[in-house]
Amino acid sequence: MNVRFTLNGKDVESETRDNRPLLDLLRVDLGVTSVKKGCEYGECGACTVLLDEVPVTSCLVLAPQVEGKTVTTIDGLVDDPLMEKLRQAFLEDGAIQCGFCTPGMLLTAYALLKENPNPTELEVKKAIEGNICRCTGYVLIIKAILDAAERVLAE
Amino acid sequence: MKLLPSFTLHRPISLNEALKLLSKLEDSKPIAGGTDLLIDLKEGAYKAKHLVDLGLIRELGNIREANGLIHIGSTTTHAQLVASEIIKAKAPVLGEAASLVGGVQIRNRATVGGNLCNASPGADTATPLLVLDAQVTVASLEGSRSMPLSELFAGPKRNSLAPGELLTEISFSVPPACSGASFSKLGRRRGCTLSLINAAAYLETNGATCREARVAFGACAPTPVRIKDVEELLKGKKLDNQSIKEVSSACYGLVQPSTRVHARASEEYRREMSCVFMKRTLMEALDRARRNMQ
Amino acid sequence: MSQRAFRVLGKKTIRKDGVAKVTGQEIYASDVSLPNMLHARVLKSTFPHARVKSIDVSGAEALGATVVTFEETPDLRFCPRLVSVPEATYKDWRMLTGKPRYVGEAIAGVAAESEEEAQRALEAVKVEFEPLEASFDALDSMAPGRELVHEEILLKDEVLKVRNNIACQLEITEGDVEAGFREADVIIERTYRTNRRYHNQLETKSVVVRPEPDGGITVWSTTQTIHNTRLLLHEIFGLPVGKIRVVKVALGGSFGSSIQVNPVVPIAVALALKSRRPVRLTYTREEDLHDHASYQMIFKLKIGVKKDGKLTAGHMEAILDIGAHQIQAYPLLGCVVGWWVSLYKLPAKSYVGKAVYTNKVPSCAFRGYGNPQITWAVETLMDELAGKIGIDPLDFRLKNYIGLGDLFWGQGPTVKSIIHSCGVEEILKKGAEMIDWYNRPKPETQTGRYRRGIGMGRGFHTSSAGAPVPSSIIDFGGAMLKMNEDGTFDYVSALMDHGCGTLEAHTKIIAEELCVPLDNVNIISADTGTTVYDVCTHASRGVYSGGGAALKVARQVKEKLRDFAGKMLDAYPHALKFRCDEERGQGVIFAEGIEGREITFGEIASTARHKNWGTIASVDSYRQPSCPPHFTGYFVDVEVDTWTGKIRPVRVVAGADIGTVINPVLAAGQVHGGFAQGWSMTTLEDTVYDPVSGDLVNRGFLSNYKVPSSQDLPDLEDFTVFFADTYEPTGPFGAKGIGEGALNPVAGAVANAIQNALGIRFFELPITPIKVLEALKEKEA
Repeated sequence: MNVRFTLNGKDVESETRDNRPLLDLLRVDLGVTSVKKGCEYGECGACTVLLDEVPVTSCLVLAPQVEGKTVTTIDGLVDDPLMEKLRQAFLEDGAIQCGFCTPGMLLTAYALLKENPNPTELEVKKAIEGNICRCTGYVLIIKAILDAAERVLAE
Repeated sequence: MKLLPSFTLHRPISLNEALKLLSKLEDSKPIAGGTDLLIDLKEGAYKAKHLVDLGLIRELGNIREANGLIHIGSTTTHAQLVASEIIKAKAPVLGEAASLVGGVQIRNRATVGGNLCNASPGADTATPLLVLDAQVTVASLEGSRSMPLSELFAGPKRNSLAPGELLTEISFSVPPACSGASFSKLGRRRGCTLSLINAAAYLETNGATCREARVAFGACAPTPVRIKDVEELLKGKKLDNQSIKEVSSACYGLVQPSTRVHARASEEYRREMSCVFMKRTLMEALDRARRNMQ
Repeated sequence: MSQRAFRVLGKKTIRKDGVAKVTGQEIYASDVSLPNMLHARVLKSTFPHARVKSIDVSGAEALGATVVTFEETPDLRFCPRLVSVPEATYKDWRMLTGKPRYVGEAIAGVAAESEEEAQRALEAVKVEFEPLEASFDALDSMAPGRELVHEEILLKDEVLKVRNNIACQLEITEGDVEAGFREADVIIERTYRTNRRYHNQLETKSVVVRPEPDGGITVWSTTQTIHNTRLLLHEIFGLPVGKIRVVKVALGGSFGSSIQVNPVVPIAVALALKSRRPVRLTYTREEDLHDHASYQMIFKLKIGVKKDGKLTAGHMEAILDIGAHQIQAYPLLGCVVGWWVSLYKLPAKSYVGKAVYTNKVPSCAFRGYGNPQITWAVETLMDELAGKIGIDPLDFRLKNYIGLGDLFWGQGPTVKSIIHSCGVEEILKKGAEMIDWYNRPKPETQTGRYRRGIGMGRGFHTSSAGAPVPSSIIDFGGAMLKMNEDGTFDYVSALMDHGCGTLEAHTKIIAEELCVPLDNVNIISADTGTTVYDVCTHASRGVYSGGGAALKVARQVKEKLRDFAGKMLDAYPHALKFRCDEERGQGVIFAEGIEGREITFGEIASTARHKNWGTIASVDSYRQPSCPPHFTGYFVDVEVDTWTGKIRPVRVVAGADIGTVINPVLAAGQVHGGFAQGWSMTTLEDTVYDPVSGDLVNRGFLSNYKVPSSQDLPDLEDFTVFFADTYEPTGPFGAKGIGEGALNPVAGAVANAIQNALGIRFFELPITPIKVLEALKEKEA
């Protein structure tokens, strides 16, 4: 069967199977390696993508279920002004170490700031609870998300 | 490596179509958010040749209020429960419980119907719905029937639905102003964690006296359960710190936590925590009932 | 000596690999994809100890898969970690085995067109096992008559018979211990038992291998050392070293779990050589949980002290549960005693360390290499001793710590050096002030549901593993630096960056030395063919040793620049000065006070090319002169819920002496991450075995192995990190390490805080809510 959806603003069509996880469709079939495979059980958040603008773990979505929907990975937000702010804050605040959680973390943070442009620290912590980072202890990630929000608001 | 077994995914757009598929297809299972089912399929806990995806059936995915009842479609996601203005205003306890399920990624997929039908002993939306005295509506090609939520649970990870039946709606009466409800849960870490135990309480007060009480536990028995003995102890009682403490301590002997070796916490610990969490939830429910009265 | 003024060092700068990481463009081993690539899966033992009676792969081959089994791969015993000299290297691994010794040990490998097809082929392999008795606890395993995990192992090439499952042991005595204990006014002896943690690095172990037309191979893998990966593959497969190319790729966390060459690597190589096609093998999370774990340790620790607070003697017996194979058990026995005796001054000490085989996932280094375990025990005992003699625990530590001018041998008895920089006093005094140490709660006065406690722990880790004389540990690196035709520089190093920003630090050292803008130093992707040997990124040596190598080549390049500039400016090379011209974005060489005698690096490079002088470049190896400790201290404020037993970190003050701070943000990040890992080591993590199935109780599922989420740490304003003002004279621009010291004292500090809140000491990790409640009940009874 074929699945048609919008991936990072472009219409794509790909042959797939009913039991193919979206994660494998993206990583293996479409070569989108920014979506990381961390656990395949929805536990770590490394495979987070935005499905119709909300974060989901792509390991627990079936490929045919994205038919007609919009899938956004970090690659699709290169020119997005909000993501640009987040990226810059992550870079400047030292919120990146190994970088394996970073794409998923940024997408979750992006969805948060879209919905809540002025989150409290507690709200940021709650928002990223599904994205595991083993390097940073989250401290500078939380700071970077708050800093990005502040910069967006200041504009 | 656990591969997802081969199956055919059907994506009906109406309830009737879904029911037809479920009754016609051999070895079929409904799939909503998939956050539990796909893992169970990988693990071989279920076998299914056909999955009937409920995600395109619009009528199953909304929350509405009518004639003093709140109706929640079975494919309403946890994220929808958290965001719903109706739930926030009329039954905040349900939104609170939903907000403690998984991370945002899981809440955006996992549905309330899935959480209930998956029938995990610690299902987080089950306990608040039990104390809200929810009814569930079950549809099949023969028609639909209604039953108390508690009857949906048949055992650990087992529901009572017959083949071809589908949970379509959860409903409960809008709680009166003199009531308050609360939910609390204990996990191994603070965010994004399964319940070692969870508890929900609902109290209606008549001044200082308890007019109606409903309490429930998750992960303290083979299914989420109401604890009727505690409810009876509460009814008619003057509610204060002391009486709540006394009633709560009765939980120790009333719950039946799993004794499995692989359980995430010991039986003894769960029994102790049942008292702690009952007390916490009752205190908070009482506090809310009082505030709602003002 | 205090911090010096630097142009680049100490400044907050943006890491060079950052943009690739925030845009998702960074490539990890698991992202490498090649044309015509096969996908591999590994057949593993489902028994903790068994003999394979028969294996039939015909079903898999009928499906078109390439299969390798233990029957056909080289029957060679090796050690997957090549950091010790051969005389100290115990070998008990085979790449595939017919006698699996833990659930998850590899028996065969299968490659097919897709992962799914490989898995189906794997399921078509028929294996018959003959189960053997298995041991899951080090003490059980040592009991006479237990089935041996290994009957024979190799030390270098000599065959050793294993007795009582003791893999190796080490005994050391210094001074008159008996007399020391006789002299003591107070002696405390305790037994401590640690947990067995899983690294949970976000990227599971992964490898891609491509067979090359010349008979060689190219390898992309999760590793902390490309050169040792190459050497081990040479050892196993007999390919000439020069025909094996191991390429650096980004590493999605490691924390010690790829100091050794991971089992996936040789298996994929065997499959690639057999199928003559590229092969990718990536472990699932479950498989990864069955691949590596920390060392579980049991310590019997006895320390004597005089009333005036002076330590007199110490004795320790350490039993290390190493799982089914040795990765670095023998050097660890040396380190365990090294970590212990380098914390506090013990005039006399004796030590017996035993590493014991069990039928569990093999243990390997996990950030701190035993130091977090031993520091937890020592810091717990130091608090207890202080209490017994009525001295404040902080003052007691100040009285006894090993510091400036003292002999230090953290990395074991063969790696001794003298401490030349030490910020312990500054860390402890400043930290105490910030947390208001002397007014901390008194356990006896608290009664309510929630109780607060403040505890402290201090520790250190080495920066590298090399002393002034050779030891049993190999520790050197190297670097290459060349000037490009526009006056910028390419830096090439074999040293792996696990995400800590290590290579970033090297470029800052180079930029500082050469007086160029940081942007002018590029990090070039590299492999074993284009780099000189570097042993491994471990032992917190990345900045100290690796940075030392970078500085060494930068200095050599600087001399060449001086010579070229001397010719061009008609000046004496040794009289010329360097400065950075930020406006022009160039390094500049000039003759001070003489107008017009000034030239940019770009102009030098350009002239050198036109006049055929050649490229200015340098490549060299570097052995650091010492093994300096970096010191850390933690003050932790916890809240214990006495109803549920849950513990919450409320406030953290952390001080670190890392010499010159190269990047304050990244250094602080190491401390934050170290605390998070130490917090969960203390309260959350353990891999427990089911004695019936011999498998992990969680069967490898992450849903049942929790590490902290974003909600488990203190608020931003309640987490303070500060750096001591020190300068390490043997380090590059005064710098030392930080990675492991950032973790080591955390468990001790947290445990001491719990004691301060409850008046209860725990001797077993993790300190779970259940244990807290049980202890509270016992105390009340």
